[in-house]
Amino acid sequence: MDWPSVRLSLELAALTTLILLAIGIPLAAWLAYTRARWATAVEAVVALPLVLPPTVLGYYLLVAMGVQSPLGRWWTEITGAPLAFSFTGLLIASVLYSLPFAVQPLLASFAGVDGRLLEASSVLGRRWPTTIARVVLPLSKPGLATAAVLTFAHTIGEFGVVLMVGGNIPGVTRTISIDIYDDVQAFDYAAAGRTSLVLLAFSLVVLVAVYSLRRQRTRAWSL
Amino acid sequence: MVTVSAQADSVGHLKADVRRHGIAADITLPLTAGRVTVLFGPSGAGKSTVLRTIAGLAHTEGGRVEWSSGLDQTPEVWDDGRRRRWHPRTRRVGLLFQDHALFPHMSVTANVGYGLIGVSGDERSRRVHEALLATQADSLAQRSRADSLSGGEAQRVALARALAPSPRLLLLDEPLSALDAPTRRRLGSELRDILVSLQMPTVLVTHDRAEALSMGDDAIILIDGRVRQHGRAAEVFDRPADADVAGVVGVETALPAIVQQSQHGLAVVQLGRHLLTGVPDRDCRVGQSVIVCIRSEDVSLEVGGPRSGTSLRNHLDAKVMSVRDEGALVRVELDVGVPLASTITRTAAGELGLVPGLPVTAVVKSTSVHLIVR
Amino acid sequence: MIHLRRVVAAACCLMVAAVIAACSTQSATRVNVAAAADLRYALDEIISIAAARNPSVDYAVTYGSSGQFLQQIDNGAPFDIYLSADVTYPQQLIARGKASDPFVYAVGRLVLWVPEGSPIDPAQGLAALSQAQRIAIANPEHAPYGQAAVAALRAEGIYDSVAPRLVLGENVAQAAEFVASGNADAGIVAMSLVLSDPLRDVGTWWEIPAQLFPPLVQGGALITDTPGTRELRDVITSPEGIEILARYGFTLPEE
Repeated sequence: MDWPSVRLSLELAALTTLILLAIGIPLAAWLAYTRARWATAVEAVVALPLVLPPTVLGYYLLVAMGVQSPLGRWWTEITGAPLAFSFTGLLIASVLYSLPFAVQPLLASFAGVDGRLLEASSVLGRRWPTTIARVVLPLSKPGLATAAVLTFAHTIGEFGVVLMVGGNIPGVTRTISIDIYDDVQAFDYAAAGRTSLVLLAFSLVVLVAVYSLRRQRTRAWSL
Repeated sequence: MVTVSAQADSVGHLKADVRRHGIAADITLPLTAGRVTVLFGPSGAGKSTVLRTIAGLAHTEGGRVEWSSGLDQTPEVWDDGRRRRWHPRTRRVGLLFQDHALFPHMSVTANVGYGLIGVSGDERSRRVHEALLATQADSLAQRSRADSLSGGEAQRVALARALAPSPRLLLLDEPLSALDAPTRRRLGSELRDILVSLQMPTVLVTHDRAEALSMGDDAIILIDGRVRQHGRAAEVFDRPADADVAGVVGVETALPAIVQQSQHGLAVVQLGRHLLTGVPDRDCRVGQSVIVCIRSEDVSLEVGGPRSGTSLRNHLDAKVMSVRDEGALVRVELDVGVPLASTITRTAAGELGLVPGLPVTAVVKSTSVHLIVR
Repeated sequence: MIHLRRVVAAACCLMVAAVIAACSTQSATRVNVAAAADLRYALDEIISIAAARNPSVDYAVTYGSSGQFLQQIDNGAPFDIYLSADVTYPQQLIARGKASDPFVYAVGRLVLWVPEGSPIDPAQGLAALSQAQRIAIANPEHAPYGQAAVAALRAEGIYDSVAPRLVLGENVAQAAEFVASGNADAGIVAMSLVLSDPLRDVGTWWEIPAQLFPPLVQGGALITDTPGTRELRDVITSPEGIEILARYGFTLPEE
């Protein structure tokens, strides 16, 4: 078991989850409650990482973050290091790649909140942020948990994007999934098998957690 | 523009000209303390839309919603019919939904205090307690989750929640429709008392005739998005302007009367020159005014002199004023000192040989005489 | 039953731990090495020598295709030293000012390799490939060993008949893995890999004559000039380094 890779994967997943919750909640709230006609287009864009091959995303990210790009140059100016092949570059890639896994459960949860409660909050004098915070979020706990858990697990399992954008640098961009790939190439099947088993068990636990949360939610709302 | 008659002590008016989705209703409400205006009509008439437009949850296209507090102050244009609207927050109205819409995850006190922005500590608890007291729900203050309340309890708390921020207008959207029959009866009579004690201008949307008559001072009849009649509640229900309104109002005879006796769940009222025994919808005292509601199909006719009525049947001597064919039924307008309508089969009409001017006896079972206690 | 609160609590603990771990800094100096895939086992030994001599340096190696590394380094990938299987790649970087101090460290050898128990007899040479259904080589678009394999096949005049049955590995190590796992019946891979411990007993090999393909002159360059990178280069080109490389079949440029 390559512990630096495990730690790296956990860090990446944890940070991605935190960032995606911070971005995802306002975005999902807007998608759930807006009347703007172009919200459908936004929803489609958010869902893109679900259908695009990771290599497409990886390609565009390399173009956007590489040393020749404006973003890459600006980053190198500020930090002295390149953006692609760095942990930060990987973090950006992860956030984009796992975006639908955070936004979609949140959106489903928010949209399921009884509209009259939101109207009541409005008439009682509250503005939108307060309504989201005091009415929508507390009633969306299962959705929040699902979003967090799915994002975390999905990021742990990332491979294609990480490979393209990360560069497989030990301790910096070599995540668990890359590690397995590397072990196989080094003919170390035993190590590859061990790590794979751990990941498989982890994914199973995650899915069981998510599905039992879903059932909890249904029960709570049939009161 | 249609104006509901104003009282001498009115403090302004709310004008709501609502145009949207096939609704074109222009109403003006006097903002008199304690005056309840009923918006009455069948389902789909647009009553809730009008209410929601007043509250600010819907908007009007090309109409206008305006609040004038009277005197010479500039009116507040809540909705200019185009783009500019006031947020519900600034209108300071209280809204009670049909199914309470309490926040299920919050406690009763958290719910009631939700609209008290910027109020904290003792002042907050005081106002929450007052609101719960006003709706006779103070015993529920300790409940930690609003979703554990029964339907009737929830509606009381929801009303308290609407009242706590001291709104200047109270809007009730079919407040009793979602309740079961026994709860509806109990809460209905209490609601009337609560509204009276609140002394706040109120708009009540309902499709229930009894509710409208027991709680409304003024009534506006809405059919298919249009205002068809307006005025004092008793008058509107007693004298529908046309057949449509009559159908909606559902009662062919609704007349004011005074209670003469009351015992054993029955009351005797003086209607015209007759004494009628009927069933009041709640306890009443002698001298109280009621509205006598008799459906025309409950009035049967006999030829021959009047017989004394038992407590089970009322016999009224009457004169036939008009007879009108309505398909398989015949509509007979009678004069018993006051107008009374009867609907009988064509066969019966034939057997009786009804013609205008014929003296007949109108028979109405006491259980068919509904007395709505004001 | 899984309680919502416990799941959330566990998740938060995990996140906090991860973030705390992220904050811990590394005390040793890092040297990131980009190494051609055929060097995997030989370089591991060399690096342990370099690490022993420089305890304060942490050598982190990434093995892959030389051509891929060229692209990555050109795009700013943070490698400190580049060991390519094709000497012209580091020269390109130097020409673009992204590397310095070029050096040649070995000449690689090519073998035909079949897994143990295969009916194909590699001693018959490349002609034996007519019996193979799937032949693994490194991707010739960017891997030097892949390019050498293609050159050898063309030199024997059998490239066209073999081409439809080729299976491309991302680098020569992956090509070898295809053979080792039995997913390919045969492969043209680096000798250094088939001599390594994990693979030496897995199959049989036959060296492809050097005149059939352009020589695999393997060279490297420094991306960042630091004591750590210079030390590694010195070890590779030192007598001990040469001896280790020789054990894996590499020859010296002069030979």
